[in-house]
Amino acid sequence: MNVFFMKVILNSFVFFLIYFSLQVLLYRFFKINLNKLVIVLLIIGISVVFGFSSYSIELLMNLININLMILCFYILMPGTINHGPALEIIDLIANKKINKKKKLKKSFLKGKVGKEVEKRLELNISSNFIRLNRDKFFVKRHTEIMLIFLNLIRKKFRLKSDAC
Amino acid sequence: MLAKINIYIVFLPFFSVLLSSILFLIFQIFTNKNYLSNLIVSFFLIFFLVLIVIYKISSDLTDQQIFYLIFAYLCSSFIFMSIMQAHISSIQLTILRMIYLNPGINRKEILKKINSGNIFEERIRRLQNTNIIYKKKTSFFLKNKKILLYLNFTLLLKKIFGVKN
Repeated sequence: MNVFFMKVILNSFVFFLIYFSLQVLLYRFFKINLNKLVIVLLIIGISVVFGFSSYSIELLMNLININLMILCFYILMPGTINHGPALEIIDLIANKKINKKKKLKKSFLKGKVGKEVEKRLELNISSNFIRLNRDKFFVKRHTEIMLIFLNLIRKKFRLKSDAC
Repeated sequence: MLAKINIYIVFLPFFSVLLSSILFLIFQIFTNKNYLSNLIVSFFLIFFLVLIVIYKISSDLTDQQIFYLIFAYLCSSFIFMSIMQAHISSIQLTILRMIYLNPGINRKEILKKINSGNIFEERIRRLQNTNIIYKKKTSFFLKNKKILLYLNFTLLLKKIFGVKN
């Protein structure tokens, strides 16, 4: 591995460290989550304008890598902040040594994940995916388009989901 | 203007992920293995192919281009895998789909159909099916210890971000 290759990796690693540290600082001390769709789309939009107006392949490749890294963070963060139910079960079995099914279920329901459905329902409202009209829920038009697209993927790839 | 070879290089990682998704689709149709194995196998097969292509044309590539090809493929594959995974286990998506299929459904009806009790049973069944845990009489034990790496990674991230359990 030559020195230039190391330099390329180091440059990307430095960017990763800066972005990661910024996320940690903002979330830990100010509870500001940078992983918002609007922010991600704004960064991608700016990058597209810069990338295609520069005619520089190096800049374009760097911008694509940076944007992909930001998208990966956007996907990774919700799973980090909200522990998924499967991981919670594994945590209870492996770290808290709760093995009996009855006790396991009791601890699971008592924990933070026990209120996960209500939390995700609230998240859907705050994310503007659904609207509440006289205690009745309806999906918004853009959510409908997203669901049709995701349904198409699910059918094509023969994925079995939890959905009813 | 960008040279033709550079345009190919820019699009190669995305084309590779497309190939990987087609391979995944073929595996899903013709094999009986679970989706996760198919997803991982298709990812590694195309990754191996990408590495061969890089090795074959490495004399014409700069260091930055080699790094770009590998990094962009890894990130795009992660995004593709996450989209596939969302269909399987995303509670948020399940709720959205439920409301889409039953417009006007209320909170009580949603919680009747999908609640923490259901989720617990469903996850236990899936963890057993994927050989991550196994049942011995009335107790569950960890079978695949590799999952602990991921668990510890998320716990570490939680600690760094100051997220309370």
